[in-house]
Amino acid sequence: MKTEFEVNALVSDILKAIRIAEEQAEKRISLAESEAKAIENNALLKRDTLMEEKVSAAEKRVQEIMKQVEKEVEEEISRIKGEVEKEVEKIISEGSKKVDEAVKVIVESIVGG
Amino acid sequence: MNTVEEEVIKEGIVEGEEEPESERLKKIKSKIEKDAEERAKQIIEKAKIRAKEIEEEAISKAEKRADEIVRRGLEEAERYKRRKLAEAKLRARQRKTQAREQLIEQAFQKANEKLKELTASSEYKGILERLIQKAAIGIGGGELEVLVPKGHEKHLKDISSIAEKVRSETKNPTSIIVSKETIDAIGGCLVRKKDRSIFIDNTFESIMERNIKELRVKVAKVIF
Repeated sequence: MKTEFEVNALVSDILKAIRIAEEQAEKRISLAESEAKAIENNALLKRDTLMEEKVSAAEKRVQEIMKQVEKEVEEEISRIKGEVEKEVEKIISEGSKKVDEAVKVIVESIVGG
Repeated sequence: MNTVEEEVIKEGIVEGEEEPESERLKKIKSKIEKDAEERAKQIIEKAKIRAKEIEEEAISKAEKRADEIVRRGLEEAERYKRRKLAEAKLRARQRKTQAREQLIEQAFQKANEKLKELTASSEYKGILERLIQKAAIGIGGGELEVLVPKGHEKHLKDISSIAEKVRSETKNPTSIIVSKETIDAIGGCLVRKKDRSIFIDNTFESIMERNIKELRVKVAKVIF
């Protein structure tokens, strides 16, 4: 049988030990919370990086598309120009042969009409 | 640890439970540690789930954003292509129109030269008389005067015969005199009433100007 003094001392020791255990538990939880925060922060950072990477890749893709389209347009314009110059040459070459006939029509319309 | 728990501990010690205090303390500590560990695991697990959600959401958002950028880029590229090609086609049409216009203009220039040459030919007298007659008939006869370019009056020595034809056509007594006043024109004439109330301009230039639209159509039909 323990004396009251011994019981109180023992209780005090036990409570002290429990308090220490609780403090350690709190530290563990606090550590876990920090770790959790770090995990979330890391995820947020990854999110931003991912967004930047995807956007950058998309912009690069758009630049490539534009370059390709510009090239296509340039080629097409060059083709149109070539074609039109041939047509103009033909118009002038064939038309020139008929100018004298047209002159007759004009003169006749003026002096004969 | 509240006072109730404290009392429970105390009672356990006083009643002399079989289990030694050290064992009981060990169990309590172990329980506290276990609970803390469990809670810590839950916190981390929750954070991992949240991180996974953030990542998945980020992938989805980033892909959506990237798709949108590419879609807009493609649309812009398509618009650019359409605009540039439309401009090029328009320029091509303009170039062809310009070439045709050049030929039409050339025909009119040559026609002017031809008309100049004509005024020096033997045909001109007849042409001039016809133009005077037409103008005089158009006015309806009467007392008329005719104006011609400088030097062209030499073709009009027999003006009375024109007056006679006009009288016959209009049934109106007609006299025509050649004015001393001259006109600035390649050829042709200007006929007016003596009182200057009516005139008809039958110079080559005026005839051409009056009929320019019709002439251009005719010329285009011949050339193209």
